[in-house]
Amino acid sequence: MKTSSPFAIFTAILVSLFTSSCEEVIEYSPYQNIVPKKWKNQNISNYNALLPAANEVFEPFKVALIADTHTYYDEFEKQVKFINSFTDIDFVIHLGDVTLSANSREFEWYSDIMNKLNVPVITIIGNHDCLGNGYSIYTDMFGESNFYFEYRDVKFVIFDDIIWEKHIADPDFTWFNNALKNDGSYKHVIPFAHIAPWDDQFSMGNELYYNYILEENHISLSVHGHDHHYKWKQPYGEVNYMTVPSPDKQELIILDIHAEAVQVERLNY
Amino acid sequence: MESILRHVADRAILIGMLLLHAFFAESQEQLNKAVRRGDAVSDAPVTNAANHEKEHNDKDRLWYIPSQYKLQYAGGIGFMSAGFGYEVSPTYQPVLFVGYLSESFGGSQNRVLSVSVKNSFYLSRQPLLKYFRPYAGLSINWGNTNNTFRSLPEYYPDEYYFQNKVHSAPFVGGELYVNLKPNKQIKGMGVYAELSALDAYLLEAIRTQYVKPHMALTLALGLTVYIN
Repeated sequence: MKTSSPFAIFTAILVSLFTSSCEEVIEYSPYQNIVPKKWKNQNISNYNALLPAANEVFEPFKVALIADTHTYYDEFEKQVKFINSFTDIDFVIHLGDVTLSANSREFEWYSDIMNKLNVPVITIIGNHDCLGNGYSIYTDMFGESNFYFEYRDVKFVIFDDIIWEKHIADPDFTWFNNALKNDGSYKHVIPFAHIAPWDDQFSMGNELYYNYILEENHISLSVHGHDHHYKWKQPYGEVNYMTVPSPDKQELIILDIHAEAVQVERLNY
Repeated sequence: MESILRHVADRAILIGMLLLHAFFAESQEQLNKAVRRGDAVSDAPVTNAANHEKEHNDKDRLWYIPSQYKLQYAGGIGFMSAGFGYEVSPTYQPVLFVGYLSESFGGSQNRVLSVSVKNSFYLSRQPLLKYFRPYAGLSINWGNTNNTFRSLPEYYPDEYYFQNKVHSAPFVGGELYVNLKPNKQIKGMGVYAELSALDAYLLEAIRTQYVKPHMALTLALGLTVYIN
């Protein structure tokens, strides 16, 4: 039939689109919060992947730190390759800002690249990840934004300190203070939060209070992202503050954790 | 309470769109009656019945009466969206869409109400191979959901973020058009499919190697009813 050929071609294109990459090519909205099943609660599944080693007695181990991958996808892939070249890194912590505008596909692209790492990744929330419906996409994709976990007698406290984008005045310092408590069973307690307390998002009261909580709990190191550059400083006295560079800086930060001290390695690649 | 409000809002949007349609239909009906009565609606001289019919089709439509209605699935502006459009010229036919997405309507935990102006340009005056009408254009999509903004609240430093409420999306598509000329109300119907690329995704497809061009694309499927 003369008229059937364009119809057939058109239908064939549609059918092939649908069958080949339906999930990829269908988007109801860039603000949609529809997390594919395989990418739900990844902080929980990734922590579970650390078991049973996580519960074993202390022996020195290494953790790689990355941050602010935003849409530096190519640089992030390079970083993933570099981390995969090591065999002595137990896991990776991403210090937040996995997206630029918290659009649905940005979260998926992050998950896609992050899952190419050979070791599990714990992902912290960043301020960019709270735009649009980002906060609820994050909680669906990774889990609660305030949490802590133990790995070989070291306590990793992950603190959500996003303020402006969540339209709040203060982060949950009560939770943070309780989470930092060391009942004596931990060799170290290390807090990780996307924004360092000297940033504009912190009021002066919150800035000093953050450091006060750390001093009260005898914390010696606080780790952050957000700045895109490596920094190591003691702006309030005793406590060391470190910021982790974004992947475009081509520098990897590794925490080398020993019983008596936590050392920082800076590796350029 | 919140779920009741959401339910009411969901229904209100649908009812609103139906009312709008009813308003258009009523206005057109009154115009049609006026034409049947022989009231002077058009200044053009009426020579014969065929011409009169043509005049009625092309000029007697009140300016705000749409010439087409659309129902669309996906395409980045809602799980489903409904729109009405105008035949500004045979090639330029803009359509205004209102789209909706929620947990019960598309499976997103957060609700999104989208308003989109789709500037469609038909690439051929007559359907190719009798039925196929290719088109392309640019959509301007306004997204209303949590934490979207045109200008930033005061406490942010200048240019801290790009605005994230309005996005543009170029698109190409094709419509299978069936002429229903003998029908009094409906001139024709079309089924269309189109691929659009959200500006934010397109930028990454251009800027990075990781994001391949097809990863920026979004498919929309829809139905058009062209009104006489």
